[in-house]
Parts: sequence; structure tokens; C-alpha cells
Amino acid sequence: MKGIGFRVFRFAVLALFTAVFLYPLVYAVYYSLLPLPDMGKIAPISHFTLENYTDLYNNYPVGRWILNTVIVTVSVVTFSVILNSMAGYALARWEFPGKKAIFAFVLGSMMIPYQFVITPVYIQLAQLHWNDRLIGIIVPFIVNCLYIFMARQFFLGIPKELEEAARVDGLGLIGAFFRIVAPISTPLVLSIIILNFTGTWNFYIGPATFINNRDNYVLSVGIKTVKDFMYDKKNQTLAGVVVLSLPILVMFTILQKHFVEGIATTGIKG
Amino acid sequence: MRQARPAKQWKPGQEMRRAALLFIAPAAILWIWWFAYPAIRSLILSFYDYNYIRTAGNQFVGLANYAKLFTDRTFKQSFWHSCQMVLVCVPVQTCLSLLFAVLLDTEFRGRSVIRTIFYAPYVISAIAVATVFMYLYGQDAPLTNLFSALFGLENKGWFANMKLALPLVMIMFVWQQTGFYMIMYLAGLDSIPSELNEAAEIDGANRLQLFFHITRPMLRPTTYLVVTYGIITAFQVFDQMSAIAGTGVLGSPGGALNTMVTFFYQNSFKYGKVGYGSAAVVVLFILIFTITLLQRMFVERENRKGGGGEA
Repeated sequence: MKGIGFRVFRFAVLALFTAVFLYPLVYAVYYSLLPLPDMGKIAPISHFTLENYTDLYNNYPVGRWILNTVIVTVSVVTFSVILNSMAGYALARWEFPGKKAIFAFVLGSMMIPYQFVITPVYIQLAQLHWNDRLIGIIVPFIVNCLYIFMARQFFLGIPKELEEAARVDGLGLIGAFFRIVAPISTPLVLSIIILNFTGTWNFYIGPATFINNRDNYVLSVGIKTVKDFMYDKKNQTLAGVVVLSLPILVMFTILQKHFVEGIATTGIKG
Repeated sequence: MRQARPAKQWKPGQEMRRAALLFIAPAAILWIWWFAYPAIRSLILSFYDYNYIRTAGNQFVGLANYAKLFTDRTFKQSFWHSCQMVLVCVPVQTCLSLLFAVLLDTEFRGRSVIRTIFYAPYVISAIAVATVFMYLYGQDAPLTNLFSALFGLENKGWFANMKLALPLVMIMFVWQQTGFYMIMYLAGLDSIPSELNEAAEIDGANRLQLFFHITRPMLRPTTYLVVTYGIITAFQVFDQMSAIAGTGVLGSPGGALNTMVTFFYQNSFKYGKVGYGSAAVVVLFILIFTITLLQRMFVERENRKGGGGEA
């Protein structure tokens, strides 16, 4: 591409916004590694210490919170990938009574804000004695109509001939899905994993509402209470922020190449 | 074996219905149990004077909750704050994300690193982001100082300032969301056939003409999605308000961060006024639904007039 003016403009805009996007991240990591007297100052790297992290670990059940968050996220994402893809596949490929209505429900649900159902969900969880337990923030969040929709769009884009060939080889409809279609669905699976992993890991309003016992907190709720009670200990609070953010940033950096591809093939771009 | 099993009569319709039932049922059961039924219950609750702190006297009151909402000053304030969130954040993040996508569309060194940096805020928890921004915009904090030097704003924590708390939430919201829409636009740009641009270039179009006459109309379906999704998300901001309020009343400082969602949450879960809170969230849903529908109609009319792609 030519145009020196364009290149200068591009460089200026991108440099400015790289700074805007990086600054808060660098700020958080930097001060999470410094002792309290260095807050608000530019301190040399020789002052760096991991003490804030060990203090945080000793003062709060952070280990439990990490474990809880991992349990909840892995459970939700596993079931979500399987169940939502299956439903999306049926909607894309098979003819059955009520298909149009079900698809209309899928689209309609995507427009309903989650807050709309949170009160009755809370009442239901309390009736089952699932409030204050991890299962209460797993089971209600497995089915997500966005992922059903994404799966449907993805499977519509796969040539039918694949499954027809599988049938000739004697596979049933379900066998064809698991043996032929599922193995080539990596872009879909990765997109759902990335979106659902970040969504569940960061989910706040649900766990904050349904969980009261501090030992059953997930990280998002736990770190928020750390901030509430330790706001003046900026370095320790920021250590909490890093603990909450780093795993997701690492996961994203590893998978990000597939993510753009995933958005292009699963139809969230329209 | 390879002859499609002639012995067993193959009934395609029946096999398909069975397979579909098997594939749809697990998702459908969970959806009805944890989404459809609660949604209907929420709607019904909004017609009741239902209060779980009080044990007796939960009675049907018809539209009384809704009537009360429209005379409630706090609700009006919350409604206005939610609208401000949408009216400011959606245009800003849509323009910025489109600009970033166009600048990052062509190959150059460092492109994928910058793309990752721009998208990174989106994957971080809103609680984490709000916490860092509270430090950045606290009293005597770097960005507070910067903005007071630039615009003569008071050197006081933004989150404790009635006038600046909502702008602070807007800043952190846009900072966090823009990268996601940039990715959507990048995917949209990928789907524009390069022949179109090449043909226009041969015809002597410059870069700006190219953008306004080829790129922008071709991106209309993406813009529709970016705007729709942006409106829905901006109406639902909650975590940031909760982080800023801390252990205080949701919507602090002094109601400056009351939105429709915090209003609903405060009533349903803090005051126990479940019926009243439900009415507020029904209004939010109707609002989102109407806007989405109007936008859809608008886009369809534009398309009939002979625009670019379809939404």
C-alpha cells in the first residue's frame, strides 16, 4: 500500500492507542510488584518483590478462589461446547417438527438481558439448596443461545457431501456427527471456548448474587472484596487484579490466532 | 456392507427425528429450566407486590408497579443514566473500532502484536478493569492530574465525584469494549472481495473515496451487529458500578451511577422488593427489544433502497 501520509497517520494513531491500551495493564503489574512506600512513584526494578502476592495469599483464601474459578469455568465450558454444538448441528442439518419455533426461541433469547431471569433463578437455586454452592453457578449457565446460533451458522457452512459419504460408509446420523463433523469443527470449538472461558471466568453478577460464603467465592467476587477492604493497600489489591487477569490473558494470547478465524466462520460478524 | 444396508429398511425421516430429539433435548431442558421458565416468572412477578422480606400479603397488583416506576425519581434518573451510557459509548466505540480495523487491515510489521494489545482489555474482568481505573483516576493519581492540567478539572477521585463518576465508567467501558468490535470489523473487512477495491483504484479513487464508497457500505451488516450488540451491552453495565460502590449503596456516589440495572438489583436483592425490581427489568427488556426491532426495520428499508450487503 502506498501513501506516506496514510502511513504517518496510521503510525500516530496506533502508537497513541497502544499507549492508551497498555498503560493501565502495565500500571497494574508494575505496582503489584512494589512495596507500599513506592506507591505512586517511579521505583527502580531492584525494588520488585513478590511479597504482595504472598501477603494476599496469606490474608485471603485466594487458593480456594482460584480452584473454585477453575472448577466452574472448566465445567461450564466443557458442557457448553458439547451441548450447544449438538443443538446447533441439529438445527443446521436435520428436519424435525418444531425446528422453526426452536430457532426463533434461540434468536429471541439472545435479546433478553441476563438480569431479566436472575431473580427467579435465585429463587429456584434456593429451593434446590443450590445457592452458595458451585453447582448453582455451573448448571444454569451451560446453555447459551449465542453459541447455539454460532454452531448452526458454522455447520451450515460445511458441505453436506461429507456426511453423505459417511452414510455410504454405513455410519448413522449421530455417528457421522461425532466421527466426521466434530473432528473438523476446531474453529467453532475454539471460538466457543474463548468466548465462554472469558465470560465464565469473569462472570460477576451471578456468583456475587448466589454465593455468600467467602470460601465458595470465585476470583471475580473475591478480588472485588479484596479491593473493598484493602483499597489503601494498592499493591496488594493490584496483585489480586493480576491474579484475576493473567490466566485469561495467557489463554487468549495462545488461542488468539484461531479466534479471528473463528469469528469469520461462525457468523458472529453477521 | 458398503451397499447401504439393504436388509434393514432405512427410514430417513424417523431416524432424523430421533437423532434431533437426542441432540436438542439436553440443551432444551436446561434452557427451559434455567431461562424460559424464569423469564416467564420474572414477567409474572412484575405484576405482583412481591416482597420476600415480608412473609404475607404478596398480592396481584396489575400494572401498579409499572405506574409507580414512572413517577419514581430514582428510576427516571437511572433510566437517563442508562441512556447516556448508550448514547455516548456506542458511537465512540463504533467509530474507534472501525478506525482501528481499517488501520490494521493491511499487512505491516507489528500488526498482530498491536491487534492483540487492542483486544486484550476485552478478555479481562470488568472488576479488574474498574479497580485499576479507580487507582488511575483517584485523588492525585496520574490520569486525574493529567485531566485537571488539561481541562482544569478538580483534583479529586473521579469515582467519588458526582459529576465525573459516570464519565469514568464510560471511559473504562469504551476502553474495554472497543477491541472486540475491532475484531468484528476485521472479520467484516476480510469478507470484502479485493477485486472491488482494485477496480475502484484503477478508476482513480483515492483512499477516502474508497472507504466511503466501497468499504463503508460493504461493512453495513457488521455495523448493524456492532451497534446492536453495543446498545445491548451498554444498557447492561453492572460490574463497574458494583466495584465503584464497594461496600456502600449500589449506584454510589450519591446515585450518580444509578442505572436501570443497578435500580433493579438494588430493589430486588437489597430492599426485597422483587415485584418492583422485576417491573424495572421488564422495562429494560422492552426498551432493548424495541430498539433492536426498530434498527432491524431501518436496515431492511435501507437495503430495499438498494444499499450494500444484507444484514
